[in-house]
Amino acid sequence: MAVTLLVNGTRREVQAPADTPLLYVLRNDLELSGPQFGCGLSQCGACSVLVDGKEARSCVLPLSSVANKQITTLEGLPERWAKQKGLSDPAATQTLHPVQQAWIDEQVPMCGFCQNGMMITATALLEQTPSPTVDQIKSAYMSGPSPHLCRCGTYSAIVEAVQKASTLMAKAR
Amino acid sequence: MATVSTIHGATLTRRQFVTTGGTLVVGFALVGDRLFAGAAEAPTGKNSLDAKLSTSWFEIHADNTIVMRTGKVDFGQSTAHTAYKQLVAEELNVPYEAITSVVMGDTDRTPDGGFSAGFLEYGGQNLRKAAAYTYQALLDLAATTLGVDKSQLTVKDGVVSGGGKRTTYGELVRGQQLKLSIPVEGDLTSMFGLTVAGNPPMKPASQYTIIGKSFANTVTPSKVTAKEQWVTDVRLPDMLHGRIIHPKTLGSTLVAAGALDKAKFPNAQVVVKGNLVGVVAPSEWEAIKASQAVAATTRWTDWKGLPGHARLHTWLRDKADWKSTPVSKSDKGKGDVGAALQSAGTSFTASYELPYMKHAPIGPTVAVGDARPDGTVFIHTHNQNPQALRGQIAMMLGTSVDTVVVRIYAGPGHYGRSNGGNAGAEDEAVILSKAVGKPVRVQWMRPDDLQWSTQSPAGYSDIKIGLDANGTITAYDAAHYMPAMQDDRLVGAVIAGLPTPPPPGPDPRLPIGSTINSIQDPWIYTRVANVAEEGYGTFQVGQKESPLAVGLRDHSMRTPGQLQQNYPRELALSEAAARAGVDAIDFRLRQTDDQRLIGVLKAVREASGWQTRTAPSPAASATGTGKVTGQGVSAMLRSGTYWACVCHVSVVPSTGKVVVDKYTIAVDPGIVVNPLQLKRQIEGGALMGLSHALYEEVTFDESGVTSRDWRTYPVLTMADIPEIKVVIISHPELGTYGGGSEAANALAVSAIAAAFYDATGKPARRLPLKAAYVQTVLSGASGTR
Repeated sequence: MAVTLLVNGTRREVQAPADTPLLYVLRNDLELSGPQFGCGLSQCGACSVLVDGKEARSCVLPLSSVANKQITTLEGLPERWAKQKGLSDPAATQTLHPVQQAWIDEQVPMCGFCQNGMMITATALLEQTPSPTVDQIKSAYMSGPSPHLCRCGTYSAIVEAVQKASTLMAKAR
Repeated sequence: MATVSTIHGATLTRRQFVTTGGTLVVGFALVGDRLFAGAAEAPTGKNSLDAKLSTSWFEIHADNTIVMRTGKVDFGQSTAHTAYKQLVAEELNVPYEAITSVVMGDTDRTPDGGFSAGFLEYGGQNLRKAAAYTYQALLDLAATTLGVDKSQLTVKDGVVSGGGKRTTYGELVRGQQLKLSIPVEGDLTSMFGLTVAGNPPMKPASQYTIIGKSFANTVTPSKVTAKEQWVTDVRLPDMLHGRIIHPKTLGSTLVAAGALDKAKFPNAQVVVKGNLVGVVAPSEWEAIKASQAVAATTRWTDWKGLPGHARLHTWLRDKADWKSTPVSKSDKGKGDVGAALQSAGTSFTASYELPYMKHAPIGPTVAVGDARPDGTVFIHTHNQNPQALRGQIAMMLGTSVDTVVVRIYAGPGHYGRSNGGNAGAEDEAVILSKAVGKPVRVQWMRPDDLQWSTQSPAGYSDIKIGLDANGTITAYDAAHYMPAMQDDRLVGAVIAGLPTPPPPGPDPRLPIGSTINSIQDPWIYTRVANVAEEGYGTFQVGQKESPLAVGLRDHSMRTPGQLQQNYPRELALSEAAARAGVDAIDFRLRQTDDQRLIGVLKAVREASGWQTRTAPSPAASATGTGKVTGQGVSAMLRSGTYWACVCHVSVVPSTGKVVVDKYTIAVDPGIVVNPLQLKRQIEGGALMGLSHALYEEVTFDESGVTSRDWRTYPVLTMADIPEIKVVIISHPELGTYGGGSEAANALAVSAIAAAFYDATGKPARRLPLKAAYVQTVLSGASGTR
């Protein structure tokens, strides 16, 4: 079937079976490789994207369920931030989302494979709760269809990076 | 014509002048060859080490930038992108930032091969030496160019000065084609790869200015902005997506592959090779759905040949063949342990059990195989030993390594699984590609990755400790039992019936890939007069019985072998300390003269807030709904680094819930290359160790692994993270580079179990400490089952 997706602020037309999980459409048809295949079971969070501002697991979302919804992938975070801040287009291309900047500052990734979902979840959390407590941060990563999993043990660094991102966002206000 | 000079055993060739650019290429000569004849030619021929640029360690460009190449594959710990650059910049006397590019792992673009583990012990020393040879060659060039004696030259930040003159490395190589050949030895596609030979002059540690500084990982920005080229992103023209229908059990053979409904899946295709069944399609979703449909009607023989996880340790003790494999003995054995145990005032005897655990990468293994019409084969993968994989693929296809190229990409970390060359999907991708004549991307699904990958081997240990009235150990006797730890066979090749190396057997020529259980945990308690440590090995469980020759295949995982021996030793020492009525850290201190061990034990005692007292805690309880708390310690020497760890835990006896509140660790690696990255590696290891201690156990029945997803193989989550404290102790005067990315996981398991004993007064002598097992222990049933 033909489906119209609104991905990272752009309309994209896709031809694929209605039951195709969004993840495969993003990676194979739209060449957006931020979301990763981790389990295909909604059990790890590596594939997370924002759908209308909420974290969702793209590995189990049928294409038909996201038609005409606003989808943001890791690639779209800078643009999302630029729009929220009213930055001009040239400035937007130069700017990282504060969450991405914090992930660099705090040297969060080890292998980095799970970090897409970790950053997407941080973004969703901070848009709702700009100054989260440590418990609120942990709870964000424990809620949803499953906890977000990291094999390399970067959980502590993630908590610190979310706090850092919160500070960066507050400064930008 | 070229001019040649010899520098500390390396050979520098200056060829014709070129008009623009210019480089110094550091390549190879094999030891024993005439150094100049064939210098820098590939030791293994085509598609290996290009005599010009692609085979080199470094390229020094006219603009003073440097390309560095290593056969090691950094899978996230950052060593190749931080510490390796620091080692090289230090020896070359260039700024860290001068190394603008790191090429890693690709078999046709990197020099040395070997497994990606012990980064500082192995690959790092190759780079240091290669850099030291290069530095000497640059000094020689400068001496000639400037007309100043070499002994008068100094180099700082890549600028050479002396006799009132100065030049840069870039100027020295401008307009010339220079080639430096350095001596190496070894076998490129072996487990260990090539080693740089000879003894070029090295910079003394006292003069280091770059080593010891905290540089950030340069790969991080691309990983957080989705610009990294991951292994999952590889797409080739005409590539098909493949899925494997793995056999029904670990011993099932194929009766008949299921039929493909062409009306439903018009573009899909089934491939059968031996017992290997694969499905390919141009669209990934069609490949997935078609493979599920074909799997449902594919028929296999049944097989039961495993003991099941609940009976595993009884089976290992009573049924496994421990006699066919020579017994290993510790080289630290001394005295007469039997007599000392007999005459000991107090003796402590206990057995400890470990389950199988998974490497459990967050993404299942994926690879693209590209078997081309001209007979060459390209494999795109994430792998810790690409040269060994290359050798194995050549063996599988009955071809020469010249025809095989492995390209490496970032991927989900799998902590040792592929350090012998086999991550899982590579051989299957090649088999399917060869069958259909197009590139094929094989992505394992989550159940494939848990059920068909290797695991960290289970085992058990019997420990006996003799004590005198003063709480001194008079005798230590350990017998460690573990199935073969390293099966490097390509599993798809095994299933397909294609050639592979033999499975692990009692062959002493293969110390790693054999059933021999060598003593991996160096004895550090030097004052103990009588010590005996024995390692008993056996075949992988079910492998010989499986008609497929598969069974429960094992592979080394973070701190391999040593985790299995250190856990029982350190937990037994803590229990023996309690039996002797001595504080567990004091107890360790009085058994050793090793100053570095004493240093880390005292440091961790101070940093952790350790209470010096006998275990169990005065408030210990095995009953009730209230929280009880405890402390536990462990220590280890691994890869030249001394470690000591303290864990603080809380236990709620009524629920059996164990929580780690604090993890404190002291580490002395000798030279500290990058404190920031070392700390991060340790923090990651700590959390992986918590995961081992609290959650991880492969479940299996009589036919195969029943852990198939993250619900049936749970790992640590963010809810479980403790306070983590890392104390780094630097001893540059030792001049040695200890490893940093292992050990922290292994130390956690015994420290947590010792803290559990302290909190409850009940010993738990197997892992993981899940609620049901904990409740069994606390109710007074046996600590081992």
